[in-house]
Amino acid sequence: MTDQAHKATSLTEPASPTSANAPEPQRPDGARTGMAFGRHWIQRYATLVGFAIMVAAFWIAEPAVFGTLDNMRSILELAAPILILAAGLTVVLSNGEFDLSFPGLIGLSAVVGVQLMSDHGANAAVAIVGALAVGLAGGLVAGFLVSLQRASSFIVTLALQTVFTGIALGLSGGGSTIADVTEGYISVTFNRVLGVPLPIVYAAVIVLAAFVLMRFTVFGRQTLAIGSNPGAARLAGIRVGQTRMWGFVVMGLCAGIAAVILSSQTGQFSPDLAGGLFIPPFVAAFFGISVLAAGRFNVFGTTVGALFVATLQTGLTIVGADSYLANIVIGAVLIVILFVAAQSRTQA
Amino acid sequence: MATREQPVVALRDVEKAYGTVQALRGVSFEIHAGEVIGMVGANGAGKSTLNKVISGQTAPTGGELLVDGEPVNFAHPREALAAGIALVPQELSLIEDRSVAENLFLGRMPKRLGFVLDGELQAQSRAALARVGLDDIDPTVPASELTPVEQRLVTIAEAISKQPRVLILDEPSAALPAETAARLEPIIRSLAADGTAVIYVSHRLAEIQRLAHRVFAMRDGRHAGDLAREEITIDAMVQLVGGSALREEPRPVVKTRADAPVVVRSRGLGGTLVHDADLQLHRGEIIGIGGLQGSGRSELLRLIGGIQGRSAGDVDVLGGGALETPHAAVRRGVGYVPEGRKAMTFPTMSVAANSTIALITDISRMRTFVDVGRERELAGGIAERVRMVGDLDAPITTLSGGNQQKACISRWLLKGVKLLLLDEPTVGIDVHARAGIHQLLRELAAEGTTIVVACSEPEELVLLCHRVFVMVEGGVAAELEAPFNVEQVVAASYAR
Ligand SMILES: Nc1ncnc2c1ncn2[C@@H]1O[C@H](COP(=O)(O)OP(=O)(O)OP(=O)(O)O)[C@@H](O)[C@H]1O
Ligand SMILES: [Mg+2]
Repeated sequence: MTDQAHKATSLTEPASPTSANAPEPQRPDGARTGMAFGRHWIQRYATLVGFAIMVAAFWIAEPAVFGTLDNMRSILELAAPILILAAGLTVVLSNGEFDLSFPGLIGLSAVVGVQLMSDHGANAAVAIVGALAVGLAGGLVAGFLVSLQRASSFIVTLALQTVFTGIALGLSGGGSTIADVTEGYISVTFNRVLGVPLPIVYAAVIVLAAFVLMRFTVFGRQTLAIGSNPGAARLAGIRVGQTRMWGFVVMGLCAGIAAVILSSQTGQFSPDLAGGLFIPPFVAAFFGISVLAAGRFNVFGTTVGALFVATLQTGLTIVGADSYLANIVIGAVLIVILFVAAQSRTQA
Repeated sequence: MATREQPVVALRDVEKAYGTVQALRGVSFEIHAGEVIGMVGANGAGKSTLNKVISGQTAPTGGELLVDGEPVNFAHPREALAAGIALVPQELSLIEDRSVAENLFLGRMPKRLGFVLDGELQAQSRAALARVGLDDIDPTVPASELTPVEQRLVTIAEAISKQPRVLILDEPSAALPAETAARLEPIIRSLAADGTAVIYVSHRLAEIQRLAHRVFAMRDGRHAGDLAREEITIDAMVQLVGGSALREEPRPVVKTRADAPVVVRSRGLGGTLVHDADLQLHRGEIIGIGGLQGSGRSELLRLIGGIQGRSAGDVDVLGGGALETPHAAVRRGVGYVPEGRKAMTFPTMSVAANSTIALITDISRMRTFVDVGRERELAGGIAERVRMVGDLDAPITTLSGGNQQKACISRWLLKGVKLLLLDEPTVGIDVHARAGIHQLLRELAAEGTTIVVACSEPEELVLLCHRVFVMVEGGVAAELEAPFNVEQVVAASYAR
């Protein structure tokens, strides 16, 4: 039966990355040895080769700009918030859930952090703790609502996105920019260690933590099990709702951290702080499914995916593409990646 | 059966490698019109792989496939179907959110001007369903609303409705209760009488004995031998598939329960079908739940395990009252193996991870970090005991069906529970491994675990259980104590 068709439709609901009822691969797997090997190789490396070709193309187009160390650094700096959000998103997606609320949560966390300084004279440390606490709380709310299992996380978090954005606008007096941040707050992202900008260091730490969490902890293992087959996870004694809730809390914390980085980098809260950060984490996570034909969401693949998106965005800017064009390209890339991901899921 | 004619399908020295796993090593095979071939072999012997090659699901890595004497190269199952070869795969493959009718006629709906002729479709669906005894199924309901047994019958109906020249049934009866499986036999006989060639894979050797004109045995990816009709006996098949005769399993001897603590006690327990169940199960007992399909066997198990909510009565498990959730059950030392592999496998996870998932916290460092070394060691040890063959680090989907079943059951054998509830645990497991699992269950019981097995095969209940409760229409109709025999179980199942 057409397993493919089934998989393609189930992409809108990641509840079944390779759901319990995914039968063994049903499609013919290539002809004789040579071709079978070829197909296998293509599956493993297709997206990585695509990444490499893209880098080469930008390099050839703008060798003087693209190939510089400065440019590498700026790609990584652009990648930092994407990496952090994508790492959190990977945990949620691995659970078989969706989160669409993080852009709103970033705004809300940022406005609270910045206002603690501007309106209450707080220092940077207090502001940061405040922003992170809001991120955690937002994740807890999302996770709690989802764990009630009354509606899909897709809809619940879509609604929360509006709620969070609305509160942020209300707090900031109708969405005005607040620029009163302390110097200490700016230095959180402005400084470098060993020549590496701090946001890159933060992103590296968080990606590593997410990797360890998913790969080496009981929580990570149970998360994978839930994403793989929620019913079987329940029967194995895993607390499905609770584990999913903690996944959203991780995501919320990541949103809080991204909020601090973004508002520190720009030195202000502005309503469009998270603008442009909605789609890239999804591109990164879905790209990750196909990396080395993993067949499921994974932090390593997500990391490669985040670097891919950041490189694509930077490259497009360097070659002088208009931003609307960049939007079209990234959206199109997401569609292609969804197809590739669906493919490697059915093959896994 | 017409053996002198040209075979409809023939294989010559077919090889199939999955990466480094050599699933088929030079297999030759042929089947003639009207012939029923019983295919037997241990789990992982290569039966499903061979049938996937014949039906174009997978391409061989060597050798030749001939249809009507002509070499063919199927690039897609569609091409095999066009050549008249239809496969009912081992794993259920219905699209759950589509209707039964759509599933039956996917890709070949009756149409006019591009529009599906709905009346026609329903009529054809009803006819196809009637063929397998599903007269009372409404073809417009989604496949997800059917029970696993009905889903299995629908996949068989689908294949038959294609009127294939070669019909391949890969363990069609595995997930079916014995009395439903028996319904397939006359259907297969009549198909064969009409000239259809049938390949019938099963671990239930008695079925093969009744149905097959010839037995084709496989072992380790090779053709292990043939049995002609008159040579087909259970013993001969057991020898061929395992290379050794089966050791006689020890018959259960009932112990005095007077001094053994009570593990489960129920009073008037009821669910949707089950009613008034009064049970008292003791430590170290192996209890069977018998009865016909739909008699409430599985439900009784779920009610005890807290998987399904009670509607009446009370139950006490291990002195802690009723269980409300599976999580609570596991905490109290109760493991539950559901009916059907899909309900318990984690397809994206490794074999090792699948067999340790229930005890992953217990074997972690500081209850947080997975102890990978320990995990592998435990998974490897249990794999040996249940005779599971396969790469522990590979995804579980690379295992043969029976080996997947073993990996899933292993998680409770490793967990060391006090009460183990098993629903049709040996479905799809080969005869030698089945004896091995029985032995493991006996050892667990001797160490004090209470085991409850819901099972549709009276033979298995007789081999394994100290006591059996036979269900009829949701009620406990009889309680048998070892030694009892198959006839007694059957008689009680049909009692009113
Ligand atoms: N997709 C796959 N990738 C890797 N190995 C595979 C794959 N499918 C099957 N195998 C391996 O091929 C061998 C034969 O498997 P097959 O499914 O044909 O066994 P089987 O005889 O049908 O067993 P069972 O009775 O358990 O269904 C096994 O060792 C199995 O692990
Ligand atoms: Mg098989």
